[in-house]
Amino acid sequence: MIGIVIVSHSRKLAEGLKEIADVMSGQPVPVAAAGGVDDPENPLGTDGVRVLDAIREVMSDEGVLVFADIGSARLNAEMAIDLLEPEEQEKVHFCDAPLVEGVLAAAVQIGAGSPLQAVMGEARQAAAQKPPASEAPRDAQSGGVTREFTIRNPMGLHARPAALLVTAMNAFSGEIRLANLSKGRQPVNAKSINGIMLSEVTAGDRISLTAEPAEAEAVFAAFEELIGKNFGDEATASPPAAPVETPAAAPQTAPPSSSGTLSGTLEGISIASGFALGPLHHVRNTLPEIEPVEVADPAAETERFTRALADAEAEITASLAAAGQRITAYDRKIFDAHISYLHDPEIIGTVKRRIADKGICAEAVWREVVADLAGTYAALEDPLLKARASDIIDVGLRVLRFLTGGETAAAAVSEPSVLAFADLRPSDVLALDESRILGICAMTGGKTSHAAILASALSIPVVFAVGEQLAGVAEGTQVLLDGTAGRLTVAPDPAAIATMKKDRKTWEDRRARAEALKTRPAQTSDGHEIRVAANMASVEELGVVATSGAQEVGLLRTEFLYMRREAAPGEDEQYEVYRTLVAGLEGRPLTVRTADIGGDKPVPYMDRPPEANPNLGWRGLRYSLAVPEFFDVQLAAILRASAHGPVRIMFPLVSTLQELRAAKERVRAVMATLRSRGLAFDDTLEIGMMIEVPAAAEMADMLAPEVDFFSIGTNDLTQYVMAADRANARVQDLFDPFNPAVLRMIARSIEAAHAADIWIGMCGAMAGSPIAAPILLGLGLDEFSMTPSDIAEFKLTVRDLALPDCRTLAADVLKLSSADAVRERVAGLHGG
Amino acid sequence: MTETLTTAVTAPMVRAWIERSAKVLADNRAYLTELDAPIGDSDHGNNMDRGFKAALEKLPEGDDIGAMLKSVAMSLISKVGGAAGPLYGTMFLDGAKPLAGKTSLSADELAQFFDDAVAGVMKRGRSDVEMKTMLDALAPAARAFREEAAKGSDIRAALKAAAEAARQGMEATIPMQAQRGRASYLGERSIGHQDPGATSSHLILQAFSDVVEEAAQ
Ligand SMILES: Nc1ncnc2c1ncn2[C@@H]1O[C@H](COP(=O)(O)OP(=O)(O)OP(=O)(O)O)[C@@H](O)[C@H]1O
Ligand SMILES: [Mg+2]
Repeated sequence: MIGIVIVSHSRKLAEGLKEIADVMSGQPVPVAAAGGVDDPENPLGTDGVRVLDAIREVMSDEGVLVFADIGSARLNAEMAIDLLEPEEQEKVHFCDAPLVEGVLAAAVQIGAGSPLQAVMGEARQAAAQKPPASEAPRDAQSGGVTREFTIRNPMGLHARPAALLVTAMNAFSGEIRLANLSKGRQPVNAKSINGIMLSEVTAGDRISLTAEPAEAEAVFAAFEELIGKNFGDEATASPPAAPVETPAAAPQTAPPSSSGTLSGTLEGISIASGFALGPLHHVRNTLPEIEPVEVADPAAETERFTRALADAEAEITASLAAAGQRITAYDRKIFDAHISYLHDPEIIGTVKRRIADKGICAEAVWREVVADLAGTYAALEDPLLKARASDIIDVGLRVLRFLTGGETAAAAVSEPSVLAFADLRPSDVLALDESRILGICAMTGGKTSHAAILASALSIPVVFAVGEQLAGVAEGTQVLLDGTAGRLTVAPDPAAIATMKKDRKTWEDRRARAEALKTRPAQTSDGHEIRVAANMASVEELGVVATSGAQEVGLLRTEFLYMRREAAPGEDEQYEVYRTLVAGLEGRPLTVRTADIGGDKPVPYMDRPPEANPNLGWRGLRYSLAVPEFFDVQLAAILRASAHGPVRIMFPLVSTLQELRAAKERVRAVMATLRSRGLAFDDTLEIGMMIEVPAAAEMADMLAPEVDFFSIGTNDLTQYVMAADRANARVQDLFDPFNPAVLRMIARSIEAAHAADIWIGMCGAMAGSPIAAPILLGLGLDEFSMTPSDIAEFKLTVRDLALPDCRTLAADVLKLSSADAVRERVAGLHGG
Repeated sequence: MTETLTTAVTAPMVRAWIERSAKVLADNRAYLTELDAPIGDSDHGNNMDRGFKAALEKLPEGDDIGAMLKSVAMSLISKVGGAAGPLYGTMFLDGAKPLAGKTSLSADELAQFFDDAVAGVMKRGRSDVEMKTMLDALAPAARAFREEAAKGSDIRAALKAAAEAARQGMEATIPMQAQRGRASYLGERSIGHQDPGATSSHLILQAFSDVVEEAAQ
């Protein structure tokens, strides 16, 4: 297959773009990311040798296309091509196209099996605003057979559906043209991803398809089939979790020991929901102790080590291939990271040096290096980095297996069981045979670990962090695992089993309904529609958001751009990130909240004075307005991204009208600068603000005429209205958004927004709460932005509500005097 | 001071040139970055320092000048990070092509080296003189070297003339409007600043002249 190489100044951008390309192309297209330079302190730049390696990585007889961003990226791309052998050079082409759009268009087109020249042509035109000239006036009707269709899938013919269409149409040899009749567009080539995207076919549009007489019927049939499949819209949703079979017939292995065995319930955290009942099986996957044995020939030992690394890599690749569709492109990159550890010059160098210096066996040295490295990670504060320790041990164990010739630790269970781990690792998940495993529990682990991300996609219940006591539960003991509540019951009694069966039935029914509803618009039973959006805080979440059923991103937290680095990100870097997101969202609006960095976040280069009370301190818009050189860079980057798709700007922590005006003034000033720099942006983009300071809620009527939208941040609003620190366990009773005081603030803000004819959303934790849903619907909230994984369930909740009931309820709860009374009233609605 | 003629540049001199360049670029790291700030992205000093440090580290043993210069080229291509990487990389790579296996260079061979080097940069950057780039230092230097060498004078004098031409070329970039690289995005606002790439070119040529001069004494 034709390969793609991405050359960018930013490694993150190159890799992020590769990720989107992997997901969009439908089939695995070879894409290599060659971004950044090998300098941790100044990682932005391009490395010609890295480009050269990347080209060779994806090289095949069918050719390679190289894409680059600006300046040295281009020069280094051309340099690398010059450095190839002449017979290689013939196959490699530099593709002069906008990086993001070009790569994505090429990936889709390659996935659809188009020839090289066609792929290049598509890529070059990817960012064109108008259909390419050759597509314009042309009598598509002549000599062809035309038929009309109505497109019904909710997303219309956007990226993924369009890619499917292109793939299907490419199976035919003759010309096929598609015209969007509803929007009065010129016919375009139906084998061209750009042509189709530019036709902007949305749900409900009528289109015509014209094909050559000889194959017209077959073309129409293929098209009908796509319509029948909803253009894959349903198929992209993850399938509902399969019901877990209780091993009714499974022989009950009696607990061998009675004294040491625990009984009762262990509480943990839920990673994947579902229910399981069966015998417990312990799996050991910690680093074994290894005796350092002296070796006579260190060189041979080094050789053995190198072979073990290669074998481990081959094994990872093979098991990924075997896992097939079971694991997504996003998750595959976890194992790419594992492979990269196997190539890490630091690690390899240290091991080789120690073998040579000390003359001891490779397995002992490897174990020591892996344990040290894992220890270093485990000691870190950041939960994400901390979780990497588990990955290191995972790779470590794999290599060790090749060095010692040990058997695979993979759960070779003789009967369907619930597996127990000290710490679950990514490889364990990959090695699982779901048909033989009922559920998984682990003593430790958190939601952010790689294993958790992988395990959350399993169709069996998974519970982490149930504690050390798990080790004391005897092998074979009957256990009940409740993945929904995050609980493990050891030796459950018949009553507990009966309850579980009932819970499981309810859960399965609901889950199936929620999944089916996920991609449809959120509507109450009487047809009132609201917008459901996702909250995001990193580029990595694009995949999750894309399949969540979100219509838009209601909140992009941008703080991640500023963390863990030496200097603030520049305009270009930020722009590339926003633009990548815009491209990945495929036309769904992106609400970017300008940075809200407070004194409590470690951002050394900002050089901020310590604050006694960071929550009430110099943060959010207050900081941005005081440091325009910081603010302007972000605004410019966001504005520039708006040239590529719908983007909104949102200001955090606005307290006064003056602040809001000053912020808008900055936006205007930055727009003027961009104009003079000749850079494109959307000057009609929506500008809004968060309502999270009580002063803003109180003054909402004065603020509303100045913005296009409001979004309520319930976490901060609650903490400020109730004067209760959300991190202080002693005042958690007060920190409750259901307090009527908070609800009245929300009601007032919604009223003010609608009086000024603007829309209002909510992006705090309350927005996804099923209990809050009827109140907020009744108050008239327009947009609900939440954690992507809550969306399916939320749509289902809304589906069961009727607007008039919600209105009555909302009016009632505003008159109540406590949060408990509010909850009770809501429960009454569901009960009645 | 006795006037001995320098008729050849030897492998140790080339090695000393690379070492000296690395040192001078490290010493001028802040200065080059400062020049890159108003018309670029403030990384040229860091880029060149990182690149030449790597070049020095990887420099092969032995007396094969072609191999040495080729190795320098590959290090720069990989480690500079900015536009200067592939540009200086091509300069050394194309310049070194006819020099494989040579352990010393005559004035003619050096003149050819400079000409090939300049042609390489022009090809890679799709650029020419008066575009406010490193070529404004490199091209006059190559010409000065060839002219001075043709007078029959020795390599030392020719290198001195080249370094001086590079210095003048570098200064001449101040009033120019940039037409290549990041600085060209600024249009007229690039006028009035000295080009960082021309400056590093001058430093590198001056280093060459200095080490050959010192070797002769
Ligand atoms: N096309 C070109 N032809 C010749 N010289 C160029 C060209 N582009 C840039 N230069 C030179 O490179 C110098 C800048 O080098 P530097 O390493 O700072 O690259 P950069 O512009 O930061 O690269 P990048 O494209 O990665 O941002 C300029 O001062 C100029 O002399
Ligand atoms: Mg620069």
